[in-house]
Amino acid sequence: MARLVTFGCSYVYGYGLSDCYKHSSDNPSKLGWPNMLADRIGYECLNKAIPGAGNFEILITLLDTPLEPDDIVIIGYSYFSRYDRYRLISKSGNGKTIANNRQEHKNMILNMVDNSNYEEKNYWDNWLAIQHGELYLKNKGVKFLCFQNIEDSIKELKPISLVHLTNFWYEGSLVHIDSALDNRHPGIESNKLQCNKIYSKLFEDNQ
Amino acid sequence: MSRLLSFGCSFTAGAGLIDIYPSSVKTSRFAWPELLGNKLGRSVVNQGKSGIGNLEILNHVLTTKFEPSDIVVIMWSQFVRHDSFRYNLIPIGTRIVEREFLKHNPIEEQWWIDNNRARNWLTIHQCSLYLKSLNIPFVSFMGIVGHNDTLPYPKLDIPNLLTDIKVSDWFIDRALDDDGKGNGHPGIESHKSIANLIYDRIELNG
Repeated sequence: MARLVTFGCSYVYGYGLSDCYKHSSDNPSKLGWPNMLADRIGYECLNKAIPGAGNFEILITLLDTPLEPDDIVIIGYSYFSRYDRYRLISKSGNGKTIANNRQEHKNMILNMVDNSNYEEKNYWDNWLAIQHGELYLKNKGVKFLCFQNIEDSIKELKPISLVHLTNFWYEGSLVHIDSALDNRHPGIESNKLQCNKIYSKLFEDNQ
Repeated sequence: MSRLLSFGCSFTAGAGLIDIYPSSVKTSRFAWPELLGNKLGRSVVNQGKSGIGNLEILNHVLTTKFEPSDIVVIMWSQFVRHDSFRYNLIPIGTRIVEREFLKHNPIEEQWWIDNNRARNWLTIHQCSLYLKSLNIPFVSFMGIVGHNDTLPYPKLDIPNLLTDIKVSDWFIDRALDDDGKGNGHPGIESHKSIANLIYDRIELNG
């Protein structure tokens, strides 16, 4: 069976949905938009999202995931501010999230060298990672769709001509119309809406 | 005339060679890009720039307007310089003075070495995929290999990276900036060797 392979953070993982909350969150939810969409198109769902992931970690996960020619890949990118939380710290390529809470993350950024231009550096690091993902998937020849899954993390941030993105869906952010059990993540109706949006984009836009 | 575009650091610019020494901003007519361009019958646009790292090389490639008949050769730089380039003057970016950068970075700490190594290989991977997406014929090879640079990031299939060209294959003499202590840029014979090695690969691959 052909696969729908998804990457992203907790918004793609489906954290907070009824099968993926607190102690039962070791595996991605089956109730989020990735499984809904896979069921709708008759594909197997491989959800590689990682709660808390930033876009560097998403890129590394993508590069480490073997893909098949008939896969459809969907990447819902995460908060730009998380980029430097993840570092590759072993020769085998496995990385580690070095800041697990907000204060730790904030302290890490404050301690970074030359933090006077941190925001611009971070902006480019993210967009270059997104471009890298697109180039990789194009080279693989698989069908794919990339977008910013979390609406408020992008706002005016659009890449200028240096980052040549040809397949980035700027209107793809998940619309948060209800909340999951944790009252923070998107609920089931938000996931249904996102599933419909992605389906339309993938299969109806060009018809 | 069709063009050869070269990207790299001072080893590509030809620092220390007789026609530009002691300039660190000019490019030499004795540097490998000129020698290779002559062999291929192409005009040369040598984008080699002293002091740059691989992220800055990626920036040069992304900001270059290519023509369909171009070919591109990249000599990658020292890994330690990767973070000395920052995109803080959109879209050109700027470089933090290297000695200041190194003074403040934990370059002896293993996490930095590992993370920096991976980010360099990712940059090389991204740049190679970008050129491939443009259908521009290109090859790249390692120019300066330090003791922490030699392990590629696993599982990355980097298009057209000439892994069989070793620095020891071509670094056979030093330029006028040789300080007698093992420091100094490649000399004219080294540049001739690079041009010959790359020429053979390009000929081999059509």
